[in-house]
Amino acid sequence: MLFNSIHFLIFFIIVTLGYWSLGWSGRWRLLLFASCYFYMVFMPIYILILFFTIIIDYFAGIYIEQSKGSNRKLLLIVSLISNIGILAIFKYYNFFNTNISALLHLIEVRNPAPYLKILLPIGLSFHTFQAMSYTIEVYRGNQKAERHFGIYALYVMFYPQLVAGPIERPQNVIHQFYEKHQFNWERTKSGLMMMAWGLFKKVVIADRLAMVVDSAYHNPSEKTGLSLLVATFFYTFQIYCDFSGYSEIALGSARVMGFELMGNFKSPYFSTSISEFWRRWHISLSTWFRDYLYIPLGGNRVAEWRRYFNQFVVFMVSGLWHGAQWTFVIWGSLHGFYLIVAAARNKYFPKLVLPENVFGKAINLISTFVLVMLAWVFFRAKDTRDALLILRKISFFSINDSLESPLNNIEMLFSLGLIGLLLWKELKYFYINTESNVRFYSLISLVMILVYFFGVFNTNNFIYFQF
Amino acid sequence: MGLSNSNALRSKSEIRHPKSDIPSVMLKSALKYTVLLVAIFLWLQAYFPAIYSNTKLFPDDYRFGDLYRLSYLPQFKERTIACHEEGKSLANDTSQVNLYIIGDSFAEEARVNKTDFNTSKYLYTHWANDAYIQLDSTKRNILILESVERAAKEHLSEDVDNFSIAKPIKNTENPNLSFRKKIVHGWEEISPVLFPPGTEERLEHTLFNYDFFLWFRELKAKMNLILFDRIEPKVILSKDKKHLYYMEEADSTHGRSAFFPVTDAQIDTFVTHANRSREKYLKAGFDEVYLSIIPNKVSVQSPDLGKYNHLIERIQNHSALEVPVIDTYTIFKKNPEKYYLKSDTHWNCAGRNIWLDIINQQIIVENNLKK
Repeated sequence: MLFNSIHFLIFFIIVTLGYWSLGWSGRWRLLLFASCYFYMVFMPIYILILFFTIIIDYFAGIYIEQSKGSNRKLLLIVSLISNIGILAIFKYYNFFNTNISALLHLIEVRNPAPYLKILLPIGLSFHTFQAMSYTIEVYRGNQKAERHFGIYALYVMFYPQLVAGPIERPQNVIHQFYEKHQFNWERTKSGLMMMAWGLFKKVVIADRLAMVVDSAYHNPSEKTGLSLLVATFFYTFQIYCDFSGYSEIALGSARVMGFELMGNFKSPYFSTSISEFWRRWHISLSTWFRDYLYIPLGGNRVAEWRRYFNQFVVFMVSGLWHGAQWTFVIWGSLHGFYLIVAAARNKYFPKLVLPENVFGKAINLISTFVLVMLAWVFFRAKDTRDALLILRKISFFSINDSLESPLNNIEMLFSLGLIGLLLWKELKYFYINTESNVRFYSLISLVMILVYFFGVFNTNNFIYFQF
Repeated sequence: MGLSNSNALRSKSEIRHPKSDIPSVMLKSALKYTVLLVAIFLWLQAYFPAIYSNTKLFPDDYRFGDLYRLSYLPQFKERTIACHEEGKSLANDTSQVNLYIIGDSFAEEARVNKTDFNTSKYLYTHWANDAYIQLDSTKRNILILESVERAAKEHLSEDVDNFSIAKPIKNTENPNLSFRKKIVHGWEEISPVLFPPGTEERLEHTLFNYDFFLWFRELKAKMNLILFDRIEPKVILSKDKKHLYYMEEADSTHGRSAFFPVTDAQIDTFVTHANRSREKYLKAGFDEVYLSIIPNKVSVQSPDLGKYNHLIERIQNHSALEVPVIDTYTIFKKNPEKYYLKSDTHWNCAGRNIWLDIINQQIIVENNLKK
């Protein structure tokens, strides 16, 4: 089910009002049932995959807690293999198989492994990672194994964050399912306002910018450098508004029922370095990789070359997590490369580090933004050939190029105005205060009217659903 | 003890709900359950197509035409009217002709039905469906293959197979199917029942299809057109902005479009399939098989919107075509403004009547004479 659909609006009203009408045992049952329904609206059969991992991890958690010594590790490995195995089959099998076939073709050997005609279950990477964080935390002793099967299933399936995160940690969420939340009007208003703003970002900003981006990236060979540059600039904000809009709707809908999920974004385009960008962008994923991959690889307590290597590996894997395509691997690797270059510059060429004044910060901010924007080319392009073509055309763009866009000049300016509004809100840390009821009703009505009249309801899907 | 307990209880309830708040709490509670029930009702009726179609609470989505429904442009809002004359029927048990049509929305029940034909039997089957039929050999059995131009390429890219004249073969389940295949097969059957598609569309029409909401939709459509020079992507405006067309037939990048190139080899293939279909149904017992390609609205009114592929003319005038055609294209072209609805992709009563006249006054009369 899509957050930007009427189906969700009705679903949300039923689930939220139903939630506040029931006692504790009714609530978790309702939420679990509703979450299953929410997921099954996309592709019903894939709920079985989710249940498979839930059952494995539920028992793995209990047995890990009860076991000692090497058995604990063995059980953790079994749990991780089953989770990663499902990801490997559904997401990566065809990717690796195709690449192996291409390699074997060079030595004129036929790859006997068949190509699987399977669809990627929606949000598989998200709930697999969330499930893995549970067994790892139980193994580490930071989380007690959950005995209540329904609550554990709800931890993996809780509908607001089921298909596109935030990727939660068990310590943050499981205990909240046991609390009997009391209805709180202030929290409800804040959650609803968050949802409204998230929806605004998605349908008014992201989906409008998408029209320019889709048109340019559909056939880049026929577009001018300027058109591709503008499209890439727009994509930088499209993906942010699309994903952060989703996260805000997720956080808001959970908050209305009394749940607090972790924030996923902190004004990432105001970062003055790539490392800062990753502390502000998709926080739940970057901290997942930090906690469960980077630190186990040795973290910062290893030799310098090893640290650089680890950083590169983590970002490359992060790219692969997004999608089984070389474009995503390159995108992740590019970020890893940026980080290594920045770290090496700080250590070996400290004179190149700009001073901490306004000028230095502005240069750092702009250069970080440009580097991030250019990396998005790989994220969005159909394949590496297209990505390289786009980058080549962008690097030779001329101000005299014609700007081909499906939007007219007024709408292009309007789009820039929306980006300006977004940046202004984030620059000023503008928080929509909802304490006064009059202000709340006025503002939420205004936002919803703007969503209706200026929303673009054609593109629908959220970008991160594909992962 | 009992007294003190009841006092304690009362004081508790007073703490929770002071007397002055009781009506407010009750009101909020009533409001909550009312909204919940309304939401559940809305979901139920949209989720289950059977409830949706049987609940006559909501206005017809198509009352102002399918193109208006896609665009909400007020200048293309025109209430569609039924072309049937109340009480008038041409159906005639003594007619020597039985008519069968494999067709699309142009010939569907709401536009054309049994009363429009001077035949003793009439059967319409949509291209998406199959039917088992028994032909009456004492009558002239006529088959018309009707297709709108934008779908003709698909319908003629293979032999027509919608009518089965022989006894239908019972679809007995193969007992040797593997367990996995049985599960998959069972799931495929049950899945659309459990999760029927189209819930979102039904909800949208349930909630926002009243005339009151149409005003807001029109305002948005007008604003987008005036300010951003943009309309809904499923429709396309003519150059003079006086006509509205369905994107599938007017967007040159769309495979079904009148402006999407069609090679001569493709035309040959369409003609071959039309001929083979005719031959097959003649052998099966039909006396005549006709082909009727209804022109797209854009092909008649705005062929200059792109490079028109002249699909109908190229098929109809093909030297190898053995299937007799019902040619509306030539007639419609003579007066492009006359035969289509302003707010719809379909023909108006005048266009429909031209088609019916050809069938009733030429085909059926000729065949009645032949019997």
